[in-house]
Amino acid sequence: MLEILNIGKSFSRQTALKSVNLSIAEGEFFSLLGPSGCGKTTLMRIIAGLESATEGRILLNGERIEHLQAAERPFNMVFQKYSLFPHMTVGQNIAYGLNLKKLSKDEIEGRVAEILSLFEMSDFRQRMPETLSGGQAQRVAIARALVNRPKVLLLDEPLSALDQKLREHMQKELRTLQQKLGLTFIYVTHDQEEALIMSDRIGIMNKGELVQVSSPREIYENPETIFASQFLGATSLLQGELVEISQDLATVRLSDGSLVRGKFNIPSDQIRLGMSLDTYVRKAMVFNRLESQVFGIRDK
Amino acid sequence: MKSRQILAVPAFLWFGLFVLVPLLIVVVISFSTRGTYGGIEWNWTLENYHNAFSWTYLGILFSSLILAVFTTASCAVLGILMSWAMSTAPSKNRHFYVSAVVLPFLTNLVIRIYALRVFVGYRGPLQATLNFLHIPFDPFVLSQNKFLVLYGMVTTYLPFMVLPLYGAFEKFDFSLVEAAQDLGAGPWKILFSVILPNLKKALLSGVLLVFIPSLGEYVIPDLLGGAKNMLYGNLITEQFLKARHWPLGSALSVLMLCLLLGVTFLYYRGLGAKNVE
Repeated sequence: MLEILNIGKSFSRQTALKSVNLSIAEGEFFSLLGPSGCGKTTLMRIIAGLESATEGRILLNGERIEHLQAAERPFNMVFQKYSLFPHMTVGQNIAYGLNLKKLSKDEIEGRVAEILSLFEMSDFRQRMPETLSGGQAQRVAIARALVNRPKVLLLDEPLSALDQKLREHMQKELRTLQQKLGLTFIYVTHDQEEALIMSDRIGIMNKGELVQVSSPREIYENPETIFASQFLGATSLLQGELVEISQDLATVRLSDGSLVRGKFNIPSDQIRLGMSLDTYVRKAMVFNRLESQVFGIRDK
Repeated sequence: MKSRQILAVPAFLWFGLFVLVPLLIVVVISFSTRGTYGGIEWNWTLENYHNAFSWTYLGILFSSLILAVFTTASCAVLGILMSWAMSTAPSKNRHFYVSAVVLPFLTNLVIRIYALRVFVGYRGPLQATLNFLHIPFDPFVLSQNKFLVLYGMVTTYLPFMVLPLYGAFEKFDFSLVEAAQDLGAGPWKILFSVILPNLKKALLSGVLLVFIPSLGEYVIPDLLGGAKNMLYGNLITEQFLKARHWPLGSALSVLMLCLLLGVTFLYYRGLGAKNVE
């Protein structure tokens, strides 16, 4: 549904995005994952129309939209710091976008009431944003975006300001909501766990490039780059010597003589026994046996 | 009395001795009679107020109000634009801009206004240039007019508008603007529905800081306005210094004071009512 073609952004000196290509399907929960400064927020802001790309095209259902202003794009965004209008009540905040669309009063009233009850916030309609807790403000921010029925909802690290427990709760709530309503989400986060739990697909970004796009399981089990593997979980770097290769598993002898076995990502024409290797070991998500914990072996 | 409240005593003393008592003296004098040679005779009368409400003086009050309103409105528009630009400038430049705004205060008001008068005055740089370019002009109209008065007022009072607004703009969260854009608002809608409501307090205090002194201003209109542009401030000054009619001057002062207090009161009450909504 949404296609991003060769989108690039460069400032006078540095390049923030290097020709990113991405295709997002309707009803998909897509996460952009990466460390801070990797360009994920820039990419999202370009999709939202808050920043312009220096090259590339954005297609929505086959139509070019990159020339449209943020106000004209059928997307809505949930901001990191919620950005609720502090001088308006919760109800006024939510109705803001609908008022601009010049909908009838009844229609606005109905949609605001509907979304408030969906988020179980009906009693908060007359409250001012400053009186809300973090989780409540977060719900209002999402409601304010969703009430406009956007084709794509863009979420910029929406849960990063919440405490751990609330964050886990909101993760589930968001995912349930997205699946129930069949919405398309693009979700920016630097939290691997969050991305792995919630997403249909994840795009890992590093230094302005989209390095891998896959399902959470695929990306966790078969990271294509060292960066992806390191970023996706606590990894330990072990150095050793390649002693055996069988099918898709490599066995490495570490300096103390112990053996570890796991997947490797070295092209077969470069592989030879006795070569010295970097081995990354990490706690597995699904498997618990030591053998399965080794992966990502790189030629030194 | 808590020990900390003692710290407020000097402020109260100062306020009582140097603001309240002199004001009371003015009020008392406003009910007295002018002596033959300009002194004060303690015969109580309401005549000064009767005179103060004459059409001539009310007319002068009206034109002072107009000037003060224009000054305040110009300062508000310029102040919003200036403080907006200042607060969004790179942070290393902001200190420079703030000092630039405050810089005029290092020179005395009279000197600044006099410099302006010399600049536009007879054989001043402006007139010399116009002469050189053979552009015809009326030297008297050019050096003394209402526009010059307004210009002098705006440049003098602009910092009082810019500084509170700058403080508010610095705290303003510009992601609100993006949120409004994202929700479909155009530039004007954003200005009036998101930016200005969040600057309201600063804007209102700026408006008071500019409006009150500009209503009583007499130096600027005196130096730049010429004899035709009498304002309320000049009128009061003249009663005290030239006409030596202290009782009438006092009555006029009390009248203006009541007007300003009334405006301020209504202003804050209107504000309070809006906040309750």
